[in-house]
Amino acid sequence: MLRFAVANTLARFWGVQFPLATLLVNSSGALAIGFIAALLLAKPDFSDWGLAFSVGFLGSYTTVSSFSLQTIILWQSHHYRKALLNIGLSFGLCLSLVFAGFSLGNLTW
Amino acid sequence: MVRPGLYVAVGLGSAIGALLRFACSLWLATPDGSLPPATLLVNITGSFWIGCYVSLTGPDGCWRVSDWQKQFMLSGVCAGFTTFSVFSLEFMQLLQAGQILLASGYVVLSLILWLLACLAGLTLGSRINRGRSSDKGANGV
Repeated sequence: MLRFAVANTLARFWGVQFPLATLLVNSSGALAIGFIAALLLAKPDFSDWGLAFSVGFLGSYTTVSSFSLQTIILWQSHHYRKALLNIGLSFGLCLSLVFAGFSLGNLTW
Repeated sequence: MVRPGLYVAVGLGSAIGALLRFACSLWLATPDGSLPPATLLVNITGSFWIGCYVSLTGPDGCWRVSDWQKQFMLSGVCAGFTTFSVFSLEFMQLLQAGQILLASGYVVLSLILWLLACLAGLTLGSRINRGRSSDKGANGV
């Protein structure tokens, strides 16, 4: 539901030319899961709730299916650059933000 | 303004998707030094299904569904079932374990398979649509 809310709000402000909502949701989810992963390492007592939160809540908050669909649709509608940009930004941001989240978590806990 | 009912649809669908994903992760444990099979599986099947569903329920599609049903399936079940965050986390854990080759392989393989699965879903969906509409034509309906 949070994902849906973020997507709707962004779609209103930015239009739906580029799947920014999915990008934002996935990047913020990656940042958060990295942060929680550091917490789990530092405080094993929280492991049950932390795991439920990260795999359950954050796992469902982020999405691959929308990313794949939007990329394919961009490509099929001849927006090749946007499709490649979407792939590059999604992977670049998510895979670096998970590290950022993890380092942030290590500093915090 | 988005109707509150749609939020209920998305919430319910996401919960179902997440539980299905959790079941997959219990069923397919990750062996040491290998790619995470559960995450790969859910992301590939989720991408396939979203493609299939979108083309079956699209303007030329043979399924008529309400907004509620569509959001339930797309923003709910599919999105809750697949996960980018766990994928990112697993990538980080592989890198931290020093398995650089495996980590980069995981990323490349995932991207290719997700997109191919989605494309296959879209193609299958439109095949079914065409089959249905030519049946109707032949029967004069």
